[in-house]
Amino acid sequence: MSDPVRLLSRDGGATDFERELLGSWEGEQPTDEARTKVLAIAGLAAGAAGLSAATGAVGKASAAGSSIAPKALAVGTASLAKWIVVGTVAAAAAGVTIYYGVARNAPSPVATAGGSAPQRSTSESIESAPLPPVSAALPALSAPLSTKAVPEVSSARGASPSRRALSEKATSDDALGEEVSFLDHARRALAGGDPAGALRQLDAFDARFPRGSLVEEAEVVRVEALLAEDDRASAAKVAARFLAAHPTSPHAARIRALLAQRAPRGQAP
Amino acid sequence: MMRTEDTSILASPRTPGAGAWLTYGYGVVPMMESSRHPAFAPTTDRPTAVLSGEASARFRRLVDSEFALVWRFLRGLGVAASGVDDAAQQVFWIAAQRLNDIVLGSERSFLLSTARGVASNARRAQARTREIGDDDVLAEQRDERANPEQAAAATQARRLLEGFLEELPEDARTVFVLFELEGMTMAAIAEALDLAPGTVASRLRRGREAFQAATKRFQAQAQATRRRP
Repeated sequence: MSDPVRLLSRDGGATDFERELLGSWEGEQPTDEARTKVLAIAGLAAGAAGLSAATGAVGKASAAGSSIAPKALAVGTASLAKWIVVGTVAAAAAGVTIYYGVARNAPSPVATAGGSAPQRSTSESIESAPLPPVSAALPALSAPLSTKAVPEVSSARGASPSRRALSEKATSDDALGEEVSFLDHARRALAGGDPAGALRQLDAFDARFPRGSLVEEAEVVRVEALLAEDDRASAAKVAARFLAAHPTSPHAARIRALLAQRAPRGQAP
Repeated sequence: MMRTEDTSILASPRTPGAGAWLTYGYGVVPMMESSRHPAFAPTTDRPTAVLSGEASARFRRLVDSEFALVWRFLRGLGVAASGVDDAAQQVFWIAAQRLNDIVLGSERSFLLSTARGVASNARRAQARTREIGDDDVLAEQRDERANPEQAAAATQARRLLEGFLEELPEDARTVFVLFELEGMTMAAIAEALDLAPGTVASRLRRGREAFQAATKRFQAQAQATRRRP
């Protein structure tokens, strides 16, 4: 007995409205960041700075009726071309083929292939497992690479990964010390009953370290300071902005808890 | 009762509520216990799973081949965009812990059944958050996305789709999502969910009927609204 025809396919019998609804699913794709965090569960790096090779991952996946191949057939090859995920597979004995990809919005400020990963290693949620040196994560690339993937990835790589990672680490350590110092000042001001002073410190922090490693921590302190000033509206705005930008940050829970504690609504916490 | 912690649940579902049960993977865990389970700890508190070389390679292969499906499956089951990354982490954290128990070849099955439990948990927490959370924050979470991909996803059509999927009973929704949205074959779905083919077919049928009834109703209402003077 063969499968029923999918609603989205030409003979599926879906109305135009249903087709539009089901078609909107195509936009549902995880970010590289999300994938990186999952790998970090096992202390694995994303190896996003390079491409690597996984045997038959794609072939095997199609045979097993995976989501990728049939999805491409049903919705058009555009869906495959639109997103790809850069991955590394430490193939044990299995040999190598390519399972590769590029984030759909390559210029996104969120970690793209290679470029931003070493810089933000201190602030990313991969805090439980420090990233190993990037060069160690790259197995030898023996398989041919599609020209489509290579430009987008190599443009993000820049200098040799290990050298870049080292020099960035050196700079970032100094800057990190300064960031910590700024935030300490802000926190001390807040603890000392001077939320306005804390906010001034935080403004200075933002100006000085627009892409600092501790920007998320700074936002948490900002929300605390605004709440201390009883400026709930501003606190909620900052919180909303933060949660939209960093929904799965470890600090997201803290920010939500902060707002909840001060929620009046006639309910006791 | 830990009311103040409830709104933190989207990122780290610590769930009060005695007597509720969470089924995941091959086990059933009482909710109160699961609330202390490391899988549900905030990301910084969750201990890194220590895997041997071979297990580590297996885990990486698992992530490479199944992560996107699991992530989208969680979305399809109604986990909010703001909580899905964390939910996906929970699923794979559990998988990392149970790697030795997962029979080779049944990884997808393990992941999807775990995902169902995690999704169910997350949805309960979302419902609680909607009750007592800050409406402004929630509204902005829904409407603002960090990157263009997610912004594209937050279209009207997508939101409507989410609404209609919400109307499906969970078992029908599961099959509907995997078949209609993820394009899996019936055979693959049967294997992944450990169901008889006939069961898959009947759940799909119910899912389609419910989906199409919902869209018809919506369109009829929209037309009626337009006709009103």
